[in-house]
Amino acid sequence: MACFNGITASADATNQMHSFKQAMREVSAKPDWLSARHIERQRWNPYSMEGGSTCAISGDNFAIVASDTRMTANDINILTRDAEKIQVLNDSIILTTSGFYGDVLQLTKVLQSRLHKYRFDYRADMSVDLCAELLSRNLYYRRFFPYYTGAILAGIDEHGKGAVFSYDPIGCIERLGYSASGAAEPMIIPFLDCQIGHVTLDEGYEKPALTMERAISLMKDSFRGAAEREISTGDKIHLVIAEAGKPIVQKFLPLRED
Amino acid sequence: MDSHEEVKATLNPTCTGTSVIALQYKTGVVVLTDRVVSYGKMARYKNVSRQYKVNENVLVAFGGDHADFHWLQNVIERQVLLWKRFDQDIGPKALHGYLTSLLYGRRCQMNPVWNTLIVAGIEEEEKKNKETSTPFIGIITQKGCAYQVKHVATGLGAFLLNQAVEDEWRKSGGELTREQAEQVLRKSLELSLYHDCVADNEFEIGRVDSQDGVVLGKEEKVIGDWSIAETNCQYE
Amino acid sequence: MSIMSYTGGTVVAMAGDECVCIASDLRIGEQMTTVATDQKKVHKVSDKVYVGLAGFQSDARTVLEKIMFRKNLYELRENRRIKPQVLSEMISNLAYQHRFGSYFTEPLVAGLDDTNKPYICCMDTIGCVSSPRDFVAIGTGQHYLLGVCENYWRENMKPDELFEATAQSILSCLERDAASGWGAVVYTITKDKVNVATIKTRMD
Repeated sequence: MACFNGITASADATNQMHSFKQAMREVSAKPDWLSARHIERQRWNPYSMEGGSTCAISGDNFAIVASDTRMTANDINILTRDAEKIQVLNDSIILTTSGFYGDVLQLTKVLQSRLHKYRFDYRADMSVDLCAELLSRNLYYRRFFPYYTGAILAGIDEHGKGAVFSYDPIGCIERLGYSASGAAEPMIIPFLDCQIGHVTLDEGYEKPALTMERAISLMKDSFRGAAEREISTGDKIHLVIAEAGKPIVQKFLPLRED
Repeated sequence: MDSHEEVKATLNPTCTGTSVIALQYKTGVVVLTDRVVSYGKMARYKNVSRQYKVNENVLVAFGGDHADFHWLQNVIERQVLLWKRFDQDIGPKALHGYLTSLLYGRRCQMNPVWNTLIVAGIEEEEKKNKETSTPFIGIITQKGCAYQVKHVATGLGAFLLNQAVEDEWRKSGGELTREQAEQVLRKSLELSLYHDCVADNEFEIGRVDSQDGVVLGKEEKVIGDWSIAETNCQYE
Repeated sequence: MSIMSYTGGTVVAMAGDECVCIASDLRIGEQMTTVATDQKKVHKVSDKVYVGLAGFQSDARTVLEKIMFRKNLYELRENRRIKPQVLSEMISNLAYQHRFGSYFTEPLVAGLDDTNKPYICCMDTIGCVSSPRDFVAIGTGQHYLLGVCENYWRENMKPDELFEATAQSILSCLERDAASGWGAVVYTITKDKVNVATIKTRMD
C-alpha cells in the first residue's frame, strides 16, 4: 500500500484508487455471504436420524441383543433393509446403537480400535464392565458435540453373568436387566417392564427367573409389536445371543416390510 | 459476527448433479448417471460425466455439488497414488471406508462435502474366484452416514426409484444378468426423467465387471413417451 | 412444553367380545407438580357409552359439558338412547367447529351399540376420527400404551380377559409415564352391567 503514495502519477488515479479502496472496505465490512439469506442457510444441521430400534435383555448366564435392520431417511424413506446396528466387539461384548448412523459408525470404530489396543497391551480381551466404562468416557468426551446415539452395551461379565449397560447420548451409564433404545423405545420398554421386571405384580408374589427361551420369545414379541406401530422399525430382526461359556450366535428373523 | 471471518463451508451448493442409480448383477455392478450438471433448475453444463474411474476395480459416482466432487477426485487420486507407493491398488471397501471417514470428519468441522457418493467395485482377491466374487456398492451421505447395498437410487431417485429397482432385483432373485440390469436402469432413468425436473435424458451406464474391470459407459439418450402431454390441460 | 402435556393424563380403550374396557389414570398436574390425585378422565355419557378426555383438563371439562348438552338434546329430540357411533360423530363435529381455535383435548369414545357390538374410537383435537377394531389410546402415555396393547390384545376377549389386558396395559404405561399416575380406574362395559375397578399403580 505504501508504495502507491510514492509512485502516484496524477491526482485522478489517486482518486480512483481511493474510491476503489472505499468500495473494498464496504464489501469486506458487509460481504454478500453474511447477508441474512446466507446466514440462514448456514444453520446446517450436522445430525440426521436413521430410525430403527434396538433392545437388550440380560439373564443369569446370558445376554441377548436385538435390533431391526431397517435404515430410514426422514422416517419415511427406506434407505436399506439390511443395515447393521449390532456390532460384536469381542467374544463377550456386544454393542448396539440407534440414532445418527454416522456417529454410530464412528463410535464403533473408536471402540474397536481401543479394544484392539487393549489386546495389544494386555494380551487379553477387555471385559464388558471395563468396556462399559470406556464407552461412557468416550461419549462424555464429546459432551458439547455429542454422538447422537442411544447406545446399549451387553455381554457376559467376569463372573459369567449377563450384563446390559444403557447410555444416553452424552454418556450417562446405568446397568440394567433389560433396556431398549431408538424410535420404538417407549413401546418396547413398558412391555418388558411388565413381563421381565414384573412391575405390575403386587409384593409377595413369586417372580420367576428369566430363562433364555422366554427372553428370546419376549424379544421377538416386542419387535413384532413395535413394527406394527412404528414406521421406521421393520424388515428383519437381527438377534445376537451370548451365553456364558458358549460362542456368540447370530440370527436373522423376518419382520414386517411395510 | 466477525465480518472478516471467511465462509469455507459448502452450505449452498451451486452446480449440482441429481440421482445416481446403481444395481448389482451376477458378476458386477452397473451404475447409471445422467450427464447434466444443474445450476439450480437450469441445465447449466451438459455432457459432463458424473462417474469417476479410480482404477481397474473401482468406480465412484456422485450426486450433489460438482465442485466438491472435483476436489474429491483429486483427493481420491492422491490416495490411489499413496497405495501405488506400496505397489497396491485401492479396493472398493478400502476407498469406501476412507471416504466415509473423510466425509464424517468434514461434517464434524461443520464444513460438509456436499455429495452423496456411490462407490462401486470388486475386490481384487475376489475377482479371481468367479464363484464367490461379490460386487460391492457402498453409499456415503454428506453427513458421513455409510452403508452397503445390492441396489440403490440416490437424490430424488431415493423417493421415486428405490422401490422400483428393489422390486426388479427381487423378482430375479438377486441374479440379474448384465443386460437385465442395464434394462432396469434405463427404465428407471425414464421414470426419473418424467418426475425429476433436473434429470436429463442423456445418460451413461458405467460398470465394474469381474472380467472386464471398470468400463465407463458411452453417452446414450432416452426419449420416453410424452404422448400423455396431449391430455394435460394445465398448460397450453 | 406442549399444552397437550400440561396437565398430563392417559386414557385407553380396548374392544372384546360384546364388551369394551375403558381406563384412565387419576393424576392431574401443572407440568411437573401434581395438584390432584382423584381425577378420572373417563366420563359416563349413557348406560353403555363412555367418553374419555385426555389433554388439557380445563378444556376437557368444557368439552364434556358441551358433549353432555348435545347428547341430552339428542336424546330428548329423538327419544332414544345415543349410540357410541352417533356420539363420536357428534364430538367430531363439535371439535371441528373449533377448527381454528381448537380445544386442546383428544376425545375417546367407547361403548356398546344397541346390538351390543363394541365400538371404540379416538380423535385428534380437531375431530379426525379413527375407529379401529382392537384398541385406542390417547394422552401423554399413548406411545407406551400402544406398544403394550399391541402385545396384549387378542381377538374376541371375554370381559374378565379384557379387563386383565386393559389393566396390565395401563399399569405398565403408568410405570413409565411421569405425567400420569396415582392409580387407575377401569370400566368394563358388558351388555348387562358396567364393572368399575380402581387399581393401585405407582403412586407418584
